[in-house]
Amino acid sequence: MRRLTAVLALLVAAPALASNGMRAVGFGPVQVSMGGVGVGASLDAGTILSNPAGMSALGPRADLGVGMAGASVEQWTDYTGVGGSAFADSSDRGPAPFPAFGLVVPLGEDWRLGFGGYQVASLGADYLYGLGAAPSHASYRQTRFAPAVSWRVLDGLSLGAALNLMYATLDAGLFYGSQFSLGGSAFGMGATLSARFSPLSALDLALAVETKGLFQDFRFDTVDAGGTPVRRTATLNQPIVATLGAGFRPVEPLLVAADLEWIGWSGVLGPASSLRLGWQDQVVVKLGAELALEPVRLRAGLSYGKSPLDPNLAFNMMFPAVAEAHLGLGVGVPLGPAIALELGALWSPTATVQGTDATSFGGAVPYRVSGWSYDLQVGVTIAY
Amino acid sequence: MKKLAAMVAVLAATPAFATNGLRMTAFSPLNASMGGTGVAMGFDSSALVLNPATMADLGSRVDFGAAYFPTTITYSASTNYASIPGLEPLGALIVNQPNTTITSDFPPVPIPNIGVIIPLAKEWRLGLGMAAIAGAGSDYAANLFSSTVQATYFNFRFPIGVSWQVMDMVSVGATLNGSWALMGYSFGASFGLPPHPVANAFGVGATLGARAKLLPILAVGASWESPTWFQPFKYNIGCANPGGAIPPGTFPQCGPLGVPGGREELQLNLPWAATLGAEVELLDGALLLLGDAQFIAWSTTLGKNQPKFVNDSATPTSQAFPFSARWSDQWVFKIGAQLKATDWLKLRAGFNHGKAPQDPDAALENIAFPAFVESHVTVGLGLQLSPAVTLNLASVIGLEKTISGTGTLPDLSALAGQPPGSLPPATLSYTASSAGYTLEAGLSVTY
Repeated sequence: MRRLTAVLALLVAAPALASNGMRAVGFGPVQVSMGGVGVGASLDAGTILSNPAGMSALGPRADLGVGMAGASVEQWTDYTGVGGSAFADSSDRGPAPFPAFGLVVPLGEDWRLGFGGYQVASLGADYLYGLGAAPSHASYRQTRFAPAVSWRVLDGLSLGAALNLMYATLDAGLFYGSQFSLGGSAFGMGATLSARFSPLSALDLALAVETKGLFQDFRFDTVDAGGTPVRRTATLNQPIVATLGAGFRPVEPLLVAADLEWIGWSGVLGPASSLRLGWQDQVVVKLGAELALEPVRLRAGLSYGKSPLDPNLAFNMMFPAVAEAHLGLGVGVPLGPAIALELGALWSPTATVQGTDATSFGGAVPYRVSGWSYDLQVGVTIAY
Repeated sequence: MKKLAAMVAVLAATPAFATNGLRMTAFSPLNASMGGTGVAMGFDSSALVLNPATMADLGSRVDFGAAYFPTTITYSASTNYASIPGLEPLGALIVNQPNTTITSDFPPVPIPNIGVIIPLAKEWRLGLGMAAIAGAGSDYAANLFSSTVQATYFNFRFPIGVSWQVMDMVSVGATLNGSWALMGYSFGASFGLPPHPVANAFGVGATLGARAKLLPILAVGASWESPTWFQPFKYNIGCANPGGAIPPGTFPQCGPLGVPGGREELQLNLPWAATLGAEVELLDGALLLLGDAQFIAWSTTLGKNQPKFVNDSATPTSQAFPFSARWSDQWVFKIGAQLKATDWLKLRAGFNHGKAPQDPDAALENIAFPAFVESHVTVGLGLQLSPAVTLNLASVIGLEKTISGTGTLPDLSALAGQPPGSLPPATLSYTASSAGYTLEAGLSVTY
């Protein structure tokens, strides 16, 4: 039980359940409103993260936004089989804001330089009656700062690369009770490589591969069982992500886009990882559409990916990555010749993961964790 | 790869020394390079925090910035119990390593600042932004109460503002300050005091500003920032048993774990502040000189018995170990200069000084939140990369500040199995120091 309490609170985060696993569905209000598509279609500076080759389709621009992600999470755990009682509680983690900004600078006709800063991952929970009916808290957040470049090799073919500089925090819960530690942080690095091919003027195809994000160990200053100061460490990298996408404009005012994304969670949070959370790889399907009804642009989309959680682990309540379906809506409104207001919303309806944990408590413990979530984003797009 | 990952920490910042009290000295790389001045003149989107009226100086623009803040924070401590016959064991429990310097391991934190200025008409500007406003923290290895001391506080603001050029000489402005803050702390966790994991809260406030261009070479400005009123930080606290002094079964719901926990609510607002500033242009505008004087009313939010638990939410252990920061109000004086060396290069420098607001005898609070650096030397430059893009670089050097004092600890008689008040008051004497520097970079784009 203690070991469990120790391991458990590890990654959780703020309320950001509107994610695939812990990964943001999209980057910025435009991608979010279109179900997270952003590889096949080059929508805005968010492409710096999703598909840097897509910058070739953009002019000089800056996109600034802020998002607010929130969730309602509840857990129920029945310890009667191991001499306890059943407890239910809802997470007290409130919504959290985050910035989203990107800048694209043309360097000649064929080259683009980009710089983006977006929140990429977040997950967490905070219970008064959590694991073992004890206070349980954990929070993970990861922000990425990505310089990027794209090169138009030929008409219709562009390549792109981004250097992914990352910063993550992992709050509390890893070492609880007398061995508590407030949290740790780590810097990480990875890269994204991508290619964009336009076989027809109305059709774009793209492939983006994001390497594993390798982080420093999170360090936690605490004490050992004898009270001696020690520094514990934990490893938490971010997974490989590969995405195929297509963007198609059947008529000028309409853009439809689809991305098929594979996220290699098992390589960083699987049974063999240092946290042994048992996450499975995830395949995510994203569909989005944008309709230009001058002067506004209407957007909608959806995303679906089966939850990567292992239903046999009760500490999923601390890692409530239960969301599977996401519905997006948004609108772009021009404010002037060079500036537009972008609004995006993403909603994930209630989803549940439940099972029986037979390994963590010395007996069979049924549990259930469920939640719904939202992500609201507002931004401005500036062509300079 | 791990070394590379470590080197990657290019855009980061740690709290606690590039601050006046908890408040950041500056809100963009450009602002940082000039000592944090800017109430009388708008240079970039930091005007949204400093004085929204000065947005009237600005055209269409976007600003991005971030900083890297390595820092050195230390403390050493001792207790009077170490030299009172019979109480030495308790003294060794209170301070494991008397008079040994403990260095904080608080890591760097990358903090972006962003903003956009949108002309709505010739006389009107709209501004949107995000800036880190306040921060402090520490991460000390086990020593006090045989436990680590860990604390973190960050406050981010998302201002939305407008400026109005009332007449050629005068502009006014206002912002609505949406805010979000994080706070967590832990001391005495191994001793049985419950930790307070990082919690967050939303807040709201406003800033009003005015600026007058009295002469072609002279402008003055004033701004007033309201308190930022925050929701209470909410903590889920478990049963606790400080020092094992609570007999098992005293509270049946806690079994052997002593006193009950609960959901605690801690109120910590950001205080109001007022600033007056002046700007002088010399050499046909090639040389700018600025000076600001700022008053920060810390005593209103971090004074005696503050921050405090509200709604009768304090658990017994928090009642026994209450906060009382006892900060004083603070005057901050800032000067800055900018020299246009060439068409593509501007050189900047500044100085910022504010007497530390801490009460030296608030020992635990000052160790946990070491935000007491007083003097900051700043330098920077602006490189015009293209007609639309400028790179701004800055560094803030926080000169080392040491603070010492002696605080009184809560009654510890129960730890010796004695009735309350039977032991002499326990004191904690300490010396803490803080110093460091920042490296900051930002891009400004006009459109």
